[in-house]
Amino acid sequence: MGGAIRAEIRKIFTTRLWWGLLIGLVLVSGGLSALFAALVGTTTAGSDPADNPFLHMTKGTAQLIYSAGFVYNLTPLLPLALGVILITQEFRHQTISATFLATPLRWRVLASKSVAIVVIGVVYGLVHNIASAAAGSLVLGIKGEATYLANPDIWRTFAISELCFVLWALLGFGFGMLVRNQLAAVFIALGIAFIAHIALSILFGALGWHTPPKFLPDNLSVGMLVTSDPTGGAGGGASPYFEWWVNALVFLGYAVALSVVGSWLLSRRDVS
Amino acid sequence: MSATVSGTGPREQVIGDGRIVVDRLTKSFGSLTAVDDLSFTVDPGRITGFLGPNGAGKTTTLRMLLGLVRPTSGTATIGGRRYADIHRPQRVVGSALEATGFHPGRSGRNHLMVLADTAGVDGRRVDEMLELVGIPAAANRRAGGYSMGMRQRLGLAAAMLGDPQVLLLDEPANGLDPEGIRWLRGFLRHLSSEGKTILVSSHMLQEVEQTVDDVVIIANGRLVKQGSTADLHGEQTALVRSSDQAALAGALARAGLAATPADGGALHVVTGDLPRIGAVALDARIAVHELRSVGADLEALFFELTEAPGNTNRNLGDPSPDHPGTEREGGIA
Repeated sequence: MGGAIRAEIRKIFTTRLWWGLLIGLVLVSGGLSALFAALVGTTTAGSDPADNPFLHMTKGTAQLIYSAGFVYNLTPLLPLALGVILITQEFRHQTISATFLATPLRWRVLASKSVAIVVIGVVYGLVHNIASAAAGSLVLGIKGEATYLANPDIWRTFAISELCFVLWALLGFGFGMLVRNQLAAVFIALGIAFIAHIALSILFGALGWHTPPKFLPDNLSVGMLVTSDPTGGAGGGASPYFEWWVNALVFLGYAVALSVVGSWLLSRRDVS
Repeated sequence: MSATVSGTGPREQVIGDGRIVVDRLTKSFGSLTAVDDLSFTVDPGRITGFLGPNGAGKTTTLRMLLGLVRPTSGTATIGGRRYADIHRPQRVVGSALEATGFHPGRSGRNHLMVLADTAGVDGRRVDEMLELVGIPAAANRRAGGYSMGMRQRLGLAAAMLGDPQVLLLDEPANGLDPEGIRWLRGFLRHLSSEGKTILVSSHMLQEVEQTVDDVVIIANGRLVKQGSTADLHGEQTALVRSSDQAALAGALARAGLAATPADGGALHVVTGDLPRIGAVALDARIAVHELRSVGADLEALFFELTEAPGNTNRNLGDPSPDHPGTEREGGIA
């Protein structure tokens, strides 16, 4: 098993994919953090303290800034795409035969790949945290606002963002196993995660439903990261998210369900 | 962590004698039966040519042998075990399959390093194999730029990585230029001199004819012929053209020689004894216009066997629309 895991990790780091997506990640996460930080203390996002989480700098605002890429639903697309591509490229380039010949027990291949995806997910999360913290705190510092970087709740946000990266990448992995066609899988996954999220949010809002939106993957991950009310209580009302660990469990359920179905199908498939 | 070859050498891994046994193997894809009740054995320590026209079911058979394709029925084992049941299979069976690709963005050396991780061998072994197949310089370039010949060599290096006793090579000569084919012949001879069991598939007999000890010939998923190349060479035939073919066929039959009509009004006679045919014709007062030996040609036998009415390649469409059903009838030659 150790050899199979090493092989899967080596596969990730021997093509240009991982650092190509990583550059995108730095730009997206760092850029959005800087943008969110720039909004602090301004009325750009409204002058009502109940509606504008940036009006006054709070602990929740800091969580929002350092997870800006997630709040904007762009950062999770990168680990998602990575997870999809890491499995579908085996089909696209017909390397899956060599993989299964080296490790004929297919569940073992898929377990090894999952471990490798956890590893790269942690690496991505680390880079995201550094980029977000650096860009966000730089802008906050220039504006003379508190950075909250010493606050334990902020550190918890950084720790949980590692988990978010792993979960999004595993979700992509499971989805890729089901779809297999690389181009289709990438576009459908990104379409669901980005466009369907927006469409469903609008629909649920119009219907006045409050619980179904909580189950959308993007809201699950934001609910893990932003645990303090950014409006400092001015917004009132209930949190739009579950408890952070409920979010994590539901999300893990999605990833596991897709991976189990995908693995089961793949374990029975003819590889030719 | 056992990154390098430790106490148990790969040779001790060989299970049983390494004999390959294909037993009543069948694979159907929908209505198409790609492999049809196929049985044959490959003896250890010999090079066996696995021959048949394109679409005969060679690749499907090899993929079933390697556990990549699930048989509809029947079994395929190596040394008495299914491939999936072999511990560290790369150390026991090396394989180079035709549709095995390389990630175009990964270097050839890294492709082998990935396989070395599971085979439990180190980077030195990878470099040795790259040296052996003659692409050490290209190995650090991305595989997307490799020529067909370089890809074949990289595939062979991958198969050899765990120093296996058994090698399954699917069309290794495909895409090689004449120089490459000559290299491959020498390479296979080198391997067989080490006593390895090699099953090498090809749709081109002349690519492997000089190299193989045994042949297994299949067409439309069924066994057509199995035997040593020496046995096959033994079946000599002659071609004779004369003034009265019907009378000559009769005279040959009375002399105990089987004669069948050949192209252009000639006769095919199953014997290598040309003077005897001449004598029979002389006794029957028939003028002989042409008399030559043709049977020693394995190539001709290959075509004869695989293009017999029941064995013509169904994948290329039905060559005789007037006779539907011929592909199902037609005995095995």
